[in-house]
Amino acid sequence: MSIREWILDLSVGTKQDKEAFLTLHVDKNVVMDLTCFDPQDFYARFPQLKGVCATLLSENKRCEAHFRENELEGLALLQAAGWTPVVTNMLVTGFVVPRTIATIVNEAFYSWEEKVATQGDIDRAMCFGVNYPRGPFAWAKGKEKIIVLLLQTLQERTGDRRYQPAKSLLALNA
Amino acid sequence: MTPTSVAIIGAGTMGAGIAQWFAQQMLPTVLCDTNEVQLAKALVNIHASWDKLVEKEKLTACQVSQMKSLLETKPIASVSPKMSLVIEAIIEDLAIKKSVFASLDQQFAPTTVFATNTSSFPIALLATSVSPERQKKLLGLHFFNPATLLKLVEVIAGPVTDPSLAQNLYTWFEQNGKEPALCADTPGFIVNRVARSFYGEALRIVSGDDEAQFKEVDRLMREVGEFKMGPFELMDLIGVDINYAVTSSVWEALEKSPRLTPHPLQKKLVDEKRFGKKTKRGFYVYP
Repeated sequence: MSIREWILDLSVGTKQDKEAFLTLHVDKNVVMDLTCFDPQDFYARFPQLKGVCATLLSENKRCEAHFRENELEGLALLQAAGWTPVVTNMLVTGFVVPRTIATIVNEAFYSWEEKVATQGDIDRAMCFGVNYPRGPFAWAKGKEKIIVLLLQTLQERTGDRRYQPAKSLLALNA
Repeated sequence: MTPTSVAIIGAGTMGAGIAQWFAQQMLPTVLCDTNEVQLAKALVNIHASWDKLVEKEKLTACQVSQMKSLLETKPIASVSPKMSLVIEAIIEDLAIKKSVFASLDQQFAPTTVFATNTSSFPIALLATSVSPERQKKLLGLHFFNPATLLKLVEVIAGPVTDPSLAQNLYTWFEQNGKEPALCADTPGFIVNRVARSFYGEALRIVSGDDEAQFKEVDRLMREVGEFKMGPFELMDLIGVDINYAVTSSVWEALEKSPRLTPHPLQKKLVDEKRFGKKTKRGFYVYP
């Protein structure tokens, strides 16, 4: 039996991009970032997918990770790429931390649109009032596209309007 | 406006914390409450806290001696009408707050600025209990518990508050070690609105009343997200009932936005009187 090559994919992409990548690599073992998608759905359709992780909204090089096989190899792959994976069996669409951050950011954008406060004051309030590690706008900076994609995936999967992205967030994504 | 003397109405946890912070800025501060036992208890606790800070060498004995001399406790009626700032920090009950403000309006000089530490009532609504002139001098100053440690003060101008008053106080707090945030008179202000998703999303991530799942979400939020506490342990600490009441009130006030809809699991816990640490059972069980 030949040893299969391992591939780590941490790219930002659409669901179709991710599916196309996996289809191209049926003969490999893949660990893939699925921050914006449902990992269970991908596991069910792509046996070459050995592990999943959520790196795209991380600011500290720590990420949620799950391996259905070959956990040691998968962990080593992420560690070699400079990540500290935190293994979990909690596999939900958008993972735990990214989807929570995405909804906090979304509410902050709605508040800003409604002129509740400036972005700076909202960030300051969340850091110094409830000790958040970062303010929502600082968190979102440069990651608006990922947050919108994650919210849209959640809205599509749940049919819940709570995930409707704020107009100002969508505008940054345009 | 620069505060030169402050009266705090209400000697509960928030009121006592706010009074302690102002005295630590070396301002003459009066803490008032109709409950004399509560008032005496608050003073003892503040003094004990200062003594501990001396032991830990965070403050000097000389500083604490000055702070002690600057902080007085009195019945409201005996407070000088010339205080520059009066902060109401009593129970979150609209009728009681309005009645207290109406009475304070009669007692204090027209120059005295009034503030409320409310976390849920519109400043505009509270302002209706004072004279039109005072309404320009009434605003929200929302502190966070513990007020001596958490740096945020939400500075909320009502629709008729003099805008320069809010701006001046914002600057004053900034110069005195706080991290103020200026916000509009909207439901939940900043924190109690934006933070709803922290709890609401966690409740939607778990599939039911399952302690193992609560633990896992809390662990990931701490270890990966770098939050000091996870959402379930924090709801248990705050009080599941209190958290649910805030969520419901912000949701109602924001025209039942689907983003803020209270979760049935949280309601279930409230119905079962599983309020968290204070009842020994919430999302978790406590010995």
